[in-house]
Amino acid sequence: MSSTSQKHRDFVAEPMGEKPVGSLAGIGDVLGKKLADKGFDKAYVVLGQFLVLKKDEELFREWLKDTCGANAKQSRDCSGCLREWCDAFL
Amino acid sequence: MPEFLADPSVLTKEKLKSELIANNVSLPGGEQRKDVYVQLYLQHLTARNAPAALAQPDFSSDEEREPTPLGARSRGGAAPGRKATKKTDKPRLEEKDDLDVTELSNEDLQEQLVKYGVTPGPILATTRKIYEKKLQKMKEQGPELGSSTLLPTVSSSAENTKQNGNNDSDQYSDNEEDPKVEFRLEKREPLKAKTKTPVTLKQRRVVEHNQQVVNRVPGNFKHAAPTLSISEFSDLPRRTPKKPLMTAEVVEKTLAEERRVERDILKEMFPYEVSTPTGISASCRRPIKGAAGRPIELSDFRMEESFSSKYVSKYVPLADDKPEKPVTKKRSIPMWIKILLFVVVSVFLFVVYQSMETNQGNPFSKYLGVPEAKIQAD
Repeated sequence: MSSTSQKHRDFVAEPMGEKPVGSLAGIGDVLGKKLADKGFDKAYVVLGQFLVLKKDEELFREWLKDTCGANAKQSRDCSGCLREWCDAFL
Repeated sequence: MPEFLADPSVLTKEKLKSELIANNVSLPGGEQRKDVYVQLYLQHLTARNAPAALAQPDFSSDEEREPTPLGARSRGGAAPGRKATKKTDKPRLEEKDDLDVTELSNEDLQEQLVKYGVTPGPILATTRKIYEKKLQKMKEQGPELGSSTLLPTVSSSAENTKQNGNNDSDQYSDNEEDPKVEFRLEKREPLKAKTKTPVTLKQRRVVEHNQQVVNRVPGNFKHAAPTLSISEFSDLPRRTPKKPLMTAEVVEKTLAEERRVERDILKEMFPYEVSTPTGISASCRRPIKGAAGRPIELSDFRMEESFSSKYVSKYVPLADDKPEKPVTKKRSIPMWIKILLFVVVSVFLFVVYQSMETNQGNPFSKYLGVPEAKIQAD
C-alpha cells in the first residue's frame, strides 16, 4: 500500500459528485470551513481552481496556503489527491 | 510604428550604406568599418523614429546607453506602450524591472510570465495573486537568467556606438558568463544535495516515492555511479517530473529485473553457493579432529566423504553432528542458558520421579554409597 491516507483513497476511488470540500485529503474541519467561507464549499469548486491553475501542483499548493493557511503537508496531500483524481477521471 | 531598425547591426554593410544613402545621409569617404555605418544609421535614421525631445539624448549620450533609459524612464514612467524610446531592448529591461507587479494589468502580468517561459492559466481574481507571486519569484531568479539572453542584443548595439567596442564586449562577456555560471551553480547545488538519495534509494528499494525524491532521481544517476547500467538512467533526466510514479515504477522494475537476471545466471554457475547480498559467504571450518586435544571418533571418518565440498557441509552435517558437542562457533542461545535449562529440567524430572515412586528402596542408594540390600516384599 502506498503512503496515501484512507481519505485520499476514498476520494480517488469514485467521481466526486457533490462531495463537500472536507472530503478532500488534507482538508479537515478547520480548513474546510475556511475554504467554505471563501466560497469553495464543494470539492468540485476546489477542483475548478486546480484546473484553472492548469493542474500545476506547485501553484495550487501556493494558492491553498494563501487561501486557507494550509501547511505543507496538508497542501501536498490535497494537491496529490486532486491530481490523482484528475488522472483517473478527467 | 518604427520605420527603421533599432538594431542596425543585423543588416549587412552594403544594406546599411544603401539605407543611409536613400535617406540622404552623407557617408564617410572610402571603405569604413561596419561600426561606422551602424553608428551613422542609428544616429540619423533610428533617431528619426523618435520624437525630437528624446532623440536629443540619444545623440548626446552616444557612448553611454545607461542614462537614456533612466531618463526615458523618469519621463515615460511605467507605461507599457513605449513608442518613445526606440531602443526596444532597454524598454524591455525597464518593464522587467517593474517593481510593482500588483499594478500590472492582467494581460501584462500574463505577458511578463510568458517572457519567463511560464504558461499561465487565466488570470482571474482568484489566480491573480498567485501569478503575481510567481512573477516576483521569476524576477528574482530572472535578472541573472534574463540578462543573459538580453545582453547579446544590447551588446551589439552598444558596441557599435563606442569607438572601441572592446570594453563593452568584455563586460558583456563577463556578464554572460556570470549568470550562466551562477545558473550552473544553482543547478549543481541541488544535484549535489541530492546525490545521497540514490544510495538510499537502492538500499531501501521503496517502490513508492515522494514526488520530490523521484524528481531528484533523474538528476542523481548522472553523478552517482551505481553498479547497474547507466544507459537506462540516461533517459531519466529527460523525463518530465509530471509522471514521477511511472518513472519510479519503471526504474524499480528495471532494477529488479536486472537483479533477477544476475541472480539466475549466478545460480546456474554456483548452485551450491549461498545467496547473499554481496555474494560472499563464509562457511564454518570443520573442527579438525585430533587437533587441539579433540577426540577422534569413527563417526568422523564416516562423514568425511560428504564433507568433500565445504559448501555442502554446512547443511548436511547439521543433522548428523554430535548433539552433545555444543556449537561453539555460532551461539543462537547463550551457553549458560542452555545449561541452566538442562539443570532445571533434570531437577524437575527428579522431583516428579520422587513424588511418583513409592518404592521403599532408594534407587539412587548405590550412588549414595549406602550398601543396602533390596528389601523384598513379603
